Amino acid sequence: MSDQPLIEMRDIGKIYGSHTVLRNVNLDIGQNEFLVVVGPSGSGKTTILRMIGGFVEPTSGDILLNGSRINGIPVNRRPFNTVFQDYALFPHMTVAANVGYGLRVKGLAADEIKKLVAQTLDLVGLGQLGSRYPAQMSGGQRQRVALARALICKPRLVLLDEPLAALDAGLRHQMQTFLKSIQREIQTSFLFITHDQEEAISLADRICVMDHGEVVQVGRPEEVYYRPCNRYVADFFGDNNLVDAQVKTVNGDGVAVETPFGMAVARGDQGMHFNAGEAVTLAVRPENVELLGANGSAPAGHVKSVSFVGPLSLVEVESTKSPGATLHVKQLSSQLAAPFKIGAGVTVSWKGKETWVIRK
Amino acid sequence: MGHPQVNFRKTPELGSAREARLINSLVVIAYILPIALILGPFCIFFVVSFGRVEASAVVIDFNLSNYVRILADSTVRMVIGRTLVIGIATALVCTLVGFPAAYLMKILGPTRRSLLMVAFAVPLLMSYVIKIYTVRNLLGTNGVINHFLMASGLVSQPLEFFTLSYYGVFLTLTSVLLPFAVFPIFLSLDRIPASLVEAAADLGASRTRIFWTVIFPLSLSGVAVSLTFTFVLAIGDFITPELVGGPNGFTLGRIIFSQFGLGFNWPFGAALSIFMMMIVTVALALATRIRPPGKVTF
Amino acid sequence: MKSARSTVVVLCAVTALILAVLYGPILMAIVTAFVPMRGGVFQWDQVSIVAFESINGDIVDALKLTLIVGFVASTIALAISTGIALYCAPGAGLGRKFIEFLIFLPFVMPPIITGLALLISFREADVPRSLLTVLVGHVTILLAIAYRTIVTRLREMGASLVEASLDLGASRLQTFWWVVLPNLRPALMASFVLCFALSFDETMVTLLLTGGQSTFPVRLWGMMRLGFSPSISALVVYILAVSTVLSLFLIRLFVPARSKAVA
Repeated sequence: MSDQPLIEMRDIGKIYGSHTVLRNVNLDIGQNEFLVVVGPSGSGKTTILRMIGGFVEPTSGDILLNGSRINGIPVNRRPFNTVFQDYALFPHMTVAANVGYGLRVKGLAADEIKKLVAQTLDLVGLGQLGSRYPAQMSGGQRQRVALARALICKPRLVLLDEPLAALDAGLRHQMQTFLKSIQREIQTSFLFITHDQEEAISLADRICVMDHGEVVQVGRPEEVYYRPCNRYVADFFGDNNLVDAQVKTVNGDGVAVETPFGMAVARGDQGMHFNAGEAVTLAVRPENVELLGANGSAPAGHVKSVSFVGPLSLVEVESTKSPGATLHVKQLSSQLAAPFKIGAGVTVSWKGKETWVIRK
Repeated sequence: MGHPQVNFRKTPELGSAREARLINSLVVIAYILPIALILGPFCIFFVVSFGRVEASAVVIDFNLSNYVRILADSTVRMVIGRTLVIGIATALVCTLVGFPAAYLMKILGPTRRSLLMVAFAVPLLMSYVIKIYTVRNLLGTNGVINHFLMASGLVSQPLEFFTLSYYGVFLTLTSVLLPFAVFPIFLSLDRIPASLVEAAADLGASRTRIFWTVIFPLSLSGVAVSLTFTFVLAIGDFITPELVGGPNGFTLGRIIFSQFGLGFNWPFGAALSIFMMMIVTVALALATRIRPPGKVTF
Repeated sequence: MKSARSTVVVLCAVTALILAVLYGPILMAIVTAFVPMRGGVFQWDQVSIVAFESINGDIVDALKLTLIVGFVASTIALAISTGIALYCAPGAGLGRKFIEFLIFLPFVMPPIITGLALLISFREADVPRSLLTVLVGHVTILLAIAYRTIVTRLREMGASLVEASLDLGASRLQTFWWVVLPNLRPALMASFVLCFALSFDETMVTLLLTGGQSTFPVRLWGMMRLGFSPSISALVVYILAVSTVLSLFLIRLFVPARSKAVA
């Protein structure tokens, strides 16, 4: 297997009238990769999917498939298949006819279609339901039909446009696991669009974060989660503390910063070239901060509120130095003793490896 | 690569010449036919309205005399005035009487509702001339009612009040156009979500109050369609006045028709038609103002 | 919510009145078809079907011609409006709005205007009035109805079914035959019956555009100017039968089994 990406989007722009939908998008999809594009609605993520699918042509830039340009090639000649958000199952056809449609248009013999349809329905766990009509099936089953219909053509890339958005939470988790296992089994690239950050993290090999038509960050789930490139990404995934700070010294990727809760040693992207004196933001997950009792020394802050949420409790600390600045800390509930009563003075211990500095 | 090569050989190409031709011809049809069948004739019609008749031939010399005549000729003015009165009266009566019938249609159970719909649809679909025939058969000079009245000695002369008069035209139009009022009102009533009515009832509104504050305002779109439909059909009709209007029952539609028959003055007929189109346009513009306040989206 | 009993009574009374006004004349015509009238009195002892026998072959031929015109005109109108609807359904663009405006114009304006506009145009183009001109007139009138029904269904279908079909490698034509048309079939059927019914009922445009061939309304128009005849009354029976069948069809096709709102 070569290192060449399956799909490369090069400097893609898309403008509708005076409205810019995509700006300078560069994105690769690797061979057999599960890439999730995540962003709020209107961020341009669906346009990326539709552009690769061939439903929308870019205003500028190139799309390459295994190195050759595919701009202008119509939808029905691209070796990709889509699972639509509303499934778009043909209501007048049985499940088997729906799944076999892609083979029928290619003119395959009826018995061969029948065989492949049966195989594919087995793959998605709907072996017995071929003779039903879409209207007679549940949302989760329709989802599987839509997937089977897309997979039967053996596409190089499966495009999934928020396919789980219509399902309830339980079914969603089940389908996520299922999708992931199918993708591993058939060894095909998946491009998955979602607005749900949790879904993105649990499914993706790599995540592409979009905002206002631009790619903000692309990386493995733990990269975008712990090492966001800016405030937007830091805020997008889960709970995060964004603390204003000032750079004191820089040493390689280690940055010493002054925060309202005392000094901290953090890491930052080396390419960023932070300068001493620069105002920055510290992104640190609540589970990566530790609180210590003040024990006589000057407290960095005091406990403002404590909420018990199972094994971990969420403690909110307000800075002594600059009141108003707060820090959320997840502390093991069993350790919540007297030092952490409301109003108690505390000091903060930062885990340097997991404390990330980003430009303000 | 572990993927079998996808076979595109048998797939007709989207960009193939054959398909492109087909799609292009579709686009051409989409533009040419409406232009040839509708825009063209209407434009020619418009042009002819600026012509005149000379030695039994239409001469188009772009003069305004036909329009001047519409405004100056007191007979024409009177006919237009009466046509408007008939049109408005027909529209109002049909809508006023049609509303309760539409409402009944809405509150009936499915079976009875379908029956009632069929009952209203049947006269709607009967040949127009036949409907007028049946009305005249009943009310006309030689009609059943006059036969009956004469035989019973109540009148010595057949009554021509019902027919052969403006009143007769109005009566006939009203009876013929009634179904045109019922269906649009029913459709607008049927679109009102039950949840709205339930919400109003839940808030303690009385039935009367619910009707006037929820149901009626939301049915206004149907009322507007009913009013314009019946009005437009009434003022444009020439068959009814021709068959039941007698020697005096002239309406705009009828004088237009006569310009293309015995009267033979096509340009004047065309000008009258353009005038009628303006009336219709004004009526439609007024009808768009009949709607519930705010934006209704269902 | 249930309506008050008194309200229902009033509604029923008004509806009964309307039905009486609508059907009174029709029923009376049917009675006169069977029962001769002399000196203002029905001769109940002379009930006969003479009137039906007096319907001559001409009228039957005219009726047949009208049915043929209805069938052909509806088919053509349906084909044209399907084509236009496929183009206009996406709904964007000034050109599409303009086409829609044109198509709806004959529907919004009184039929006499459309009829006369076509009449003058045919005269200018030296096309003699004939069955063909009647056909063109009917198609023009029917376009709006056919287009409306079809475009509504197409828009309900949305773009995703077509996109899905293309995505799976189908050509435009395959997509049309295998996906669009099957989903359009109920709308096409409903639209055909409606067009046929309207064409059957259509009189004004027909009267203006007809040539020598007498279609049914033209024939009736001629007969009616001469006065009453029992054979017209007898025809009412046939017409009533035809329109009842048509309306049963239409109500079946257009009214969903269950209405979504109940007052």
